[in-house]
Amino acid sequence: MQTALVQESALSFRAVSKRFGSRMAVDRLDLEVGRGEVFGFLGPNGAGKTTTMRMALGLIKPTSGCVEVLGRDVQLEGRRVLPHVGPLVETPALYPHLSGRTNLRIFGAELGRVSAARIESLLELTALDERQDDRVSSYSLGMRQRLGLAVALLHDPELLILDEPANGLDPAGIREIRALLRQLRDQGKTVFLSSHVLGEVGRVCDRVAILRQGALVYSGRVDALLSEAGYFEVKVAEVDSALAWIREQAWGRSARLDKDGTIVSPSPSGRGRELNSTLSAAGFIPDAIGPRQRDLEAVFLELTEGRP
Amino acid sequence: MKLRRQRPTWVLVVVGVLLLGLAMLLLAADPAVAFARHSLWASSVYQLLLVVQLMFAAGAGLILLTTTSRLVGMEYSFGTIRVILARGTGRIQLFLAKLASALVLALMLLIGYWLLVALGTAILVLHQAGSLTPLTELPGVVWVNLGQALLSCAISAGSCVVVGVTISTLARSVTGGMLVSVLFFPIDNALDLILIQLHRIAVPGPWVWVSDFLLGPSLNHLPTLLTSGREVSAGALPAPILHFSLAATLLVVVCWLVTLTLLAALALARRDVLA
Repeated sequence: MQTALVQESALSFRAVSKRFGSRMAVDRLDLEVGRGEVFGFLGPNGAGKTTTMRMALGLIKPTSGCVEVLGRDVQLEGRRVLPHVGPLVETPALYPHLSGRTNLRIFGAELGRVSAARIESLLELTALDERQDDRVSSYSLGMRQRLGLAVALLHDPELLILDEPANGLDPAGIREIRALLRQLRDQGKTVFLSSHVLGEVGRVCDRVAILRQGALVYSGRVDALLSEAGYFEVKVAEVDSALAWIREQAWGRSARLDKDGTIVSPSPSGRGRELNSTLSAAGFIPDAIGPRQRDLEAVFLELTEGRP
Repeated sequence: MKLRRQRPTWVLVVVGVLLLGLAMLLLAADPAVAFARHSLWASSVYQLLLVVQLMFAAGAGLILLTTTSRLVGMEYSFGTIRVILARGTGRIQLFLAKLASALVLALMLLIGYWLLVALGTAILVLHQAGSLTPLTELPGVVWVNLGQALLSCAISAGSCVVVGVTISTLARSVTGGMLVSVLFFPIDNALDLILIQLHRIAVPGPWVWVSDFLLGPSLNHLPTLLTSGREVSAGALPAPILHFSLAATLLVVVCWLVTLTLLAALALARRDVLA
């Protein structure tokens, strides 16, 4: 498990546990989300992601430990700090018998400082301006999701806590959300999002945390998670003999064959250049050599289900 | 706005107005309501009051219990409570805001209902007597009793609001909240009827006292106590067996409301929001 030191935290979990009866939903979670970063929170269904997010929003009290939002204990100072947080927890919570615009007006009125112009701009941003006067009950899941996001953004929050924001969106909608998240990051906002669309997480998040059965199994940079340090992918014509030759070398005993016929091998010096020259000298001219990059889905499954 | 845009709200209002209109028509045909005869002016008013007060207790009670249950329960059923609380709204603050909104609603209903009753009465008097003289020349005590009847209606409406809001907060859903709060008064009235029957067949026991501690029967008996036994009692509804004094009955009502409020506020403050 890799953890990065974060200088200034927007969100931090300190030994946080939550127990529901005999079931431990979250187990001694330690996590830091730095200000201004887009942080991905991954885990299979039932891993404790939503419980963790609810604890960050003060909706659920931790059994033990402490959750700090923007530097303050959310249980003790929630009323002071939560107005700076934009939440989207699970399915968007909306009034289905009211229009999209009226929903924004009602939630805006509860916050007390949202202008009509802000509502207009959010309807435009979430591409709901054409259906703003229709009842939410007639909206598709994707439209509801976008309206839920608009509700979360109403008061221009410093920190966004988004549970599956891409849920129910079509590819175009997912791309729009991705662009929106990048735009928010550029504005200096902190985004803590959970998602099961792993490709999206890889594209927009700086760092990720992976939860399995309530316990943290990884926290760190996405590129560090995906790269298999010191390993290279080698494409060569004589796969079997090349692999056998590499394995005979002292530096190459851990080399293996990937499913697609690519050799995954270390290098004598840790650099691809030496691997290329060594193989060429042995008579195996590589067609291509590149650093080994793992698929996020494979890493996710490996960490959450123990698959190789 | 959340309630105004819901069809059941308007259906209840329209049904309520139609039923009141029907009651006024039936009262116009009632021989006990005769504003044309000077000697029956006051008794006609009391007869009218008896009916409209009974209608308010049953009808407005039902409207307030279902509406306030929806007002609170919808936040749980739609999950919007998590958006509201996750924005830093205090739980007690939210509970009190809901209670205040529901009380305003009750006040509006009370004012609207009595304005309609006043209008219907004026039309009835004009129809029977040709002028409003039977109302303008009523003895002062009748107006005092009218004010007392209005006060008992206000207490009854306030109690329904507290019952509706607190039970929905405890139930955490529209369906559960509405079901339990609508059944609350029929159950304690039914319990009172059972206790009365036991008392009549002279089965000794503590129910003689229990009856006086029930909320519904105490509210039913309140008009009689407030008007010192005049003819404005909602006599068709079950009352406590022993009949506490006015102060004691009010204390019972207040205790019920405070207990329910504390229970709901405590539950909202302590429980996790999983909606």
